[in-house]
Parts: sequence; structure tokens; C-alpha cells
Amino acid sequence: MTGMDVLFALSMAAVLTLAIRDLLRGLGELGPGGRGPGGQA
Amino acid sequence: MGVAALGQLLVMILLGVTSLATVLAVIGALRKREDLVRAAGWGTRAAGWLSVATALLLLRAILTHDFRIQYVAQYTDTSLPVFYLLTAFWGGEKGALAFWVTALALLSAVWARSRRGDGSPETGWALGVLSATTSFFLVLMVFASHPFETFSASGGPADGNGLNPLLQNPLMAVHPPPQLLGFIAYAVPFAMAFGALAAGRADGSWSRRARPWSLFAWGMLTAGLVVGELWSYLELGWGGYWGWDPVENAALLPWLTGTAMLHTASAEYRGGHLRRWNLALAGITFWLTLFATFLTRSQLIQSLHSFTGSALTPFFLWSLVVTAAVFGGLLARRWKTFAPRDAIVGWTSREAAVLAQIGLLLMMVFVVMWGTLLPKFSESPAVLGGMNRVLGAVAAITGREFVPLSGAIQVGPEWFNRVIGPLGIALLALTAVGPLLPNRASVGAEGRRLAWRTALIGVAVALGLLALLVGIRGRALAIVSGLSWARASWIYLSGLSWPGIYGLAAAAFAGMTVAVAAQDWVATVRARRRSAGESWRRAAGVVFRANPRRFGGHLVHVGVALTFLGYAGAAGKIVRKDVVLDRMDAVTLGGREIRFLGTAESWNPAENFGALQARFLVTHLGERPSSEAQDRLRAVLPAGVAVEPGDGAFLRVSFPDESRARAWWVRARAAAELAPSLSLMASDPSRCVLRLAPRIPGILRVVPESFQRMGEAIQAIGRDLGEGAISVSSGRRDPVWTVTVRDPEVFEALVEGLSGTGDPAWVAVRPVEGDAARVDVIPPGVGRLMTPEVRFYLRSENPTTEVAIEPGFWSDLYLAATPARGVGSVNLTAMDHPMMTVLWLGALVVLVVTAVLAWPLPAPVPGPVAVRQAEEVPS
Repeated sequence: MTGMDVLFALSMAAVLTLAIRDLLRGLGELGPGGRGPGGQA
Repeated sequence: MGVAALGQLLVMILLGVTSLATVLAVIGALRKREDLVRAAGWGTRAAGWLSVATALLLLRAILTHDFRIQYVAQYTDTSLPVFYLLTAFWGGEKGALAFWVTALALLSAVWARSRRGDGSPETGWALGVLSATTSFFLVLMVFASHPFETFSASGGPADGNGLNPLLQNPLMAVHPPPQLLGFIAYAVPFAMAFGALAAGRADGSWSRRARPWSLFAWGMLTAGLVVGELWSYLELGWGGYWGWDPVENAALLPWLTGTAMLHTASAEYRGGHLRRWNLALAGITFWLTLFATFLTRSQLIQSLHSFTGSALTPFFLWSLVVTAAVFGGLLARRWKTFAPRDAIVGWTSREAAVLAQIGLLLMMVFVVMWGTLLPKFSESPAVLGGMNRVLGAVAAITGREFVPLSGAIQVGPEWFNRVIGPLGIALLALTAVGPLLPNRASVGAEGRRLAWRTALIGVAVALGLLALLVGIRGRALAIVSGLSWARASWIYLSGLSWPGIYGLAAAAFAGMTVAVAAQDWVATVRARRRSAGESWRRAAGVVFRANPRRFGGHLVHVGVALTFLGYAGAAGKIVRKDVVLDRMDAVTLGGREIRFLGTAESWNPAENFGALQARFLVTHLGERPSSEAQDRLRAVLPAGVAVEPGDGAFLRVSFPDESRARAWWVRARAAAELAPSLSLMASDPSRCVLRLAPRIPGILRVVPESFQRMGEAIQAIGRDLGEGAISVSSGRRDPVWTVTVRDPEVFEALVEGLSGTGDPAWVAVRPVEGDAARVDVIPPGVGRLMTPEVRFYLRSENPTTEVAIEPGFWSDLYLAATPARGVGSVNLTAMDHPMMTVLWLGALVVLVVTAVLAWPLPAPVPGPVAVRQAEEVPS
């Protein structure tokens, strides 16, 4: 594992986490129980 | 899981997310379900992150030389420097597609974030368009051109093919991102226009919010065009910067309509005018970005500027048809909803000028499209037959003789220049006049008075500039011909050809544009200073911040005027000479003398190329060596030698006898011309035999002929010594030259010269013909050395040219040279390129100001700003 490998793994993890967070927030909006306007970070 | 498999999985997930977001957004917009639209917004933002992950993965595959992946093997190799590895990301079709998807997904995510919490149908439609566009490019990727595609059975090659040498240039490496970003970013204003149209929201808010996006896209497109021009000028060696190549034309098309859109957006903002034009131009511009990509696919494929088949063609054709049909249909349906708030008042209003500008720009679009497509279409026998029938019928009616077209129609740069020239001049005239014209809100007496004053100053400046230019030329003619100044000026004026007339008109209108802009700035800043008692600098800042549209616009116009001056200068009077020169031959151009000193090799193992360099000494006509240069030369010469001024840049050195002169110039030339490329392997003083081998053996791998050239350099010295003085032969197997010298003194001089390094006391040496005791020498300090070269690459058949340019404010000296392989001569293209610095300066002004304008500005400073500030009507 070089420094580049670690940097790459960390950035991938961060980016994918953010993607999953946004997807979950999108799911949270759906339906009558959705969070309504302003349901974002 | 391997990188390739992970990449393919990520691309599939990305496609799933963008497709889902499209469906949610469209249903949300149709059913007015805010939750669905908001969910689509989050999906779009998630897609942005996922696209970054995909790009990171591809970048990693490139950086770690993962040659199992086809794209990596095709466009990189292990010897490529990191910078070019990074740029290989967009160096080929698949990578460019990945860049496209990443950038579009990211821009869409940024836009979705700017509309966060908004679940309106307008936002829904826009999100739908953005996600659908991203999905379209992802479909292309998955089904036609996958960047993560691997080699089927084997593990891939041990090393890759490397990057096209033409792309191994800093300018070309950075050219695609702004160009592609310009194309991609126009999807955002298009999506916003689509949203407003579909939702029937005619308050113009879409256009206001789209402004930074339009400016960003326009700025990027401009930067892409400028970098492309600069690259063409510096690298391609054909002597120009714009060749009306299909790829250049394709990039120009959306720029033209994008320019029109910036102005219609202002018109809509000022008074709700030209609304439908604004929408239509957003649609046309986006359509043209797709069309441009389809037309050349060069941004998406490796083969530079060529029309080769690509699997993407049918996809693009369909996207063009669908986009035109859907957007056109929508515009037609909402035609009445988006009627302008007011009719345009008279033909002297600002809006009328914008309308005229749209007309001119669309005419240019038509001309460029026609000229680009006609040669392609006329390759088809059916089209050619049809055209012959139509032309034949026209000829029959008019009674003219008709010669049928036999082959595909060729449309060259001359045609484009001839047709675009007048349109460009008209556009520049509008640029000068347009800002003077009042819009509806400011038809007050004060505004009119100021406008008239500004107009008068502008016209005066334009006429003054015209008189000055004609006067300068007339004066030059008067001196040569002995006629009176006025008469010579008249003769010059009446003998002008079209490029000259365009040049003068461009200069006049450019001067007027600058004068109008300056006058408006000065008047407004002065008014502010009077009312607020501020310093010039502060007042200028306040005035700019209070009305960036107007004053930023002025600055962009000034930049455009400067580039026009550059174009006009280039169109008007490029002096070009194409010659073949032998060593020490000279050619004169624009008051300069360009003397060919010889060729030299260089070897650059880090970047895999060897270069054949042609060395030229450029002096001004009449330039002579200084007395210090003479003294320096005297100091290194033996005693009893006289130095006196010679012909031009030469000093004439007189030796006491022929043999001393000969020994001296042989040594000097061996040091200057042979030692840099040949090293002395062995010498046999008893038989006067030398064995010489190339100093850099690597060069022979890329330019085998350079061995011949080295032999020719030895023989050239032999020729100047006289018949039979030197005999030269090469080894059968080894690249070694064997030199047999008749005269021991000459032999010694050769050995001394080859053993020493080049002497700094002279630049060039030649024996005087017919006077063997004298030698002509150019000492250092006279003129400038210019060294254009041709580069040969280990991994590519195609050499590239590196031109040499001496920039100047009024004109550049441009040299492109191809050393004739194996012999001592060179093919030189020398050009006197006027106004190039002005052109680049203008482009820089445009880019910097656009960047400032696209950046969100702080809120306007309160307080009285200017007399004419009332012009701005917030809606």
C-alpha cells in the first residue's frame, strides 16, 4: 500500500458515502411521509 | 474485484440512478408532486458523487498502468510523464465520453443543489432534461464505447501504445477540458429554458438564473477556441491559427448562438423583450453542441480532425432529431404564453440592435454549416446529381453556359473568409453602435444627449484612425514614388483589395467600440465622483459593481474589438515566403534578414522524441556588429590578423596568408558545426585519418537520416576547401564516418575543432569566395538565434513541428522549417504575422472579464451611482 493507494481508497470511500447519503435523502422525500420543503443538509 | 469490473458496476449504478431521477422528475413535474421532484434532485446530486467515483477509478487505472483495460493500453504507455498520463483521461473517445459524463453529472448536481428544496414543475422538467442527457451519454458509454472495457482473454499487453504525439503538448493537453466543458455546460441553460417552457412560467426568472451558467459555458467555449487557435499557431506549422477545419467550425457554431443568447438574456432582463428568441437560442445552442459532437466526434475520438466511422453516429443522429422535435414542439405550443411584454420601439433601440445581431450570427451559423456540410454531402452521387439538375435548370433560364459538377465540392478557407468577412465587419459595427442605442427605459433627454456625444466621439475616433492608417501607407508610397502625400494616399486607397478594405473597416469600428466603451465609463465614473465625492478608483469599482452587465459588457466588447483588429491585421497583410535555403543562405522578410546557419539534432529520452533543429540568425536589415563585438573577436584571433566591417552582420577577417586562414576557419567550423553532433572516436595523424561517430546514438533510432546529414556537414567543409581535400566514407555496419584529409594542417585543425567545444567568439563562419586569406565571421551579439524544429517520436510515425516565433506588438516573425533529410538544406516558411499580440491580448481580456462576470458579485453599493443608472430596470 503506497500513499497514493491510501489516498485513492479514502477518496473513493468518501465519495461513495456522500452518494449513498444523497440517495437515502432522496428516498426519504418520497411519499406522503416525506420530509417536505427544506429537507436537506 | 478488479478495477475494470468495479468501473463497469459503477457505470451501471450511475445509469440506474440517472434514469430513475429522470423518471421521478418527469412524473413529479407532470403530476405536480413536489416530493418526487425533490427526490429527483437528491438523485441528481448522488449521481454527481457517483460520477466522481467513476472518474477517480479511470484515473487510477491510467496512473497505475492497468493495461488490461483497453482504453489505458490504447492511449498511454509506461514511459509517458505523469502530466500526459493525466491528460490521457480525455485523449481518446472513451475517455472523452467519461469526461463528458462526469462533467455533466457534476454540473447537474451543482444546479440541483442551487434549487434544493424546490419541488416546482419547472425545476422538475429541468432536472428531467439534465438527468436524461446524462443518461443518454451513459447509454453511449455502456453500449458503444465503454472506457472500462477489458481485453477478452489475455491479460492485456505488457506496455501500451502511448499518447498521440500531437497531444503531447501542454496547449493541446489542456485544450479539450474547456472546449468540452463549454459544450457540456450549455445543457444547463437549455434545461432551464425547457423547464420554464414546459411549466409555462414566462416571468423571465429562468433567464436571470441561467446567466452565470451561460457566461460559464460561453467563457469555456471561448477559452477552448482560443487555446485551439494558439496551439494551431504555435504547433502545426502551417502558418495560421484558424483553418476552417470541420472541427473548428463545429466548435464555433454553438459559440455564435451562445453569443446571441447572452444579448437576448440582457434584453429580456431589461424589459421582457426577445423572450422567445432567448428560449429558442438556448435550444439551438444546446442542439448545436450535440450537432458539433456528432459532426466531428473528434472531441470524442482519438483521430484528430478526421471523419472515421464511430459506433456513436446513429445515437447522435437520433438525439438531434428528438431534441429538435421535442423542444421545437414545446416552443410552438407555448408561443403565445411567451409573447414579449412590449413591442420593440423603433429600429434605433438597443433591442433592434440585438435582433440585428441575432440575424447576423444566425447567418454566420448557416454559412459555416453550409460550408462544412456541403463537401461531405456532395460526395454522394445522388446529391451531386440533384445539384446538377438544379444548376442546369437555373443556367437554362438565365441563358448562361453550364458546366456540370463532376466531383465533391471543395470549400476552402478563402471561401469562408470571403463570406464571413463582411458579416464579421457588420457584427463589429453593431458592437460599436449597439451600446449607444437607448433601450425603452432610458429614452430621456439626458440619456439621448449623452448617447449623441458618445456617438460623435466614437465616429471621430474611427475616422481619425482611418485617416491615420491611410496616411501612414500613403506616406510610405509617397517616399517611394515621389508623388505628393495626398495623391499617394488616394492611390493607395483606390487600389485597396477586399481584405485591405475589411482591415480598414475593422480598425475603424474597433476604434469606435473602444471609444464608446471608454466614454461611457468615464462619463459614469465622473458622475459618481461628483455625487459621492469618491476617488477615481473607488468610483470605477462602485460603478462596475452596480451595473456589471453594462460595464463588463463594455470590457468584453473592447476585448472582442482587439481580437477583430488581430484578425483584420492577419487578413490584410501577412507576408509569407516559402524557400529552400542552403547553409549560410539568407532570405529577407519585412525588414529582416533570416540566415540559415545549419541543422542540429537533439534527443529527449524523457519524452521519447528526437528533434532535427534548424538554426537561423535573424538580423534587422542594416544591423551591424558593435565595436565591442569586434574587440571580442580580435581578442581570440591570432596576432597579425585584421578585423573590419564586412557585408551586413559579417565581420571580414584578413589573415596574413591562405594556410593560416584555412586552418582557422576549419577549426572554427569543426567546433561549431561538427562537434555538437559528432564525436572523435579515433585519429591517425600519420595517415591523416579520423573516425567520427554520432554523439547521441539514440537520435538514429528516430531519425536514421540524420547520420547522412552529419556526413553532409563534413563534406560541406570539404567542398569549401576544394576538390579532393577531404574524402568521406561510412562504415558498412556501424554508424561511423571515416574522414581522410590531404593536408596535415587541415587535419590538425579538424581534430582541434572536434576536441574543443563551440567557441563563443563567433556565430557563423564562412570563407570568402575567391580570396582564400579572408574569412567572414558573424560575432555573437548580432541578431537573434531562432530554432524551429521537427520532432520525431519513438512510438509514432507522425513527426510534429515546433515553430519559432519572435513576438512583437505590431507583428510576429514566424518560422517553420523542415530540414531536408539527409542533405544540408532546409525548407523554410517565414511569415510576418501582423497584430497577433493584439489578437491574444483581446482574447485574454474577453476571458478575464467573462470569468469576473460569471462569478457572483457582491450586492451593489447603495447610494447614487450615475445619471444613466436609471437605465437598468429590475423586473
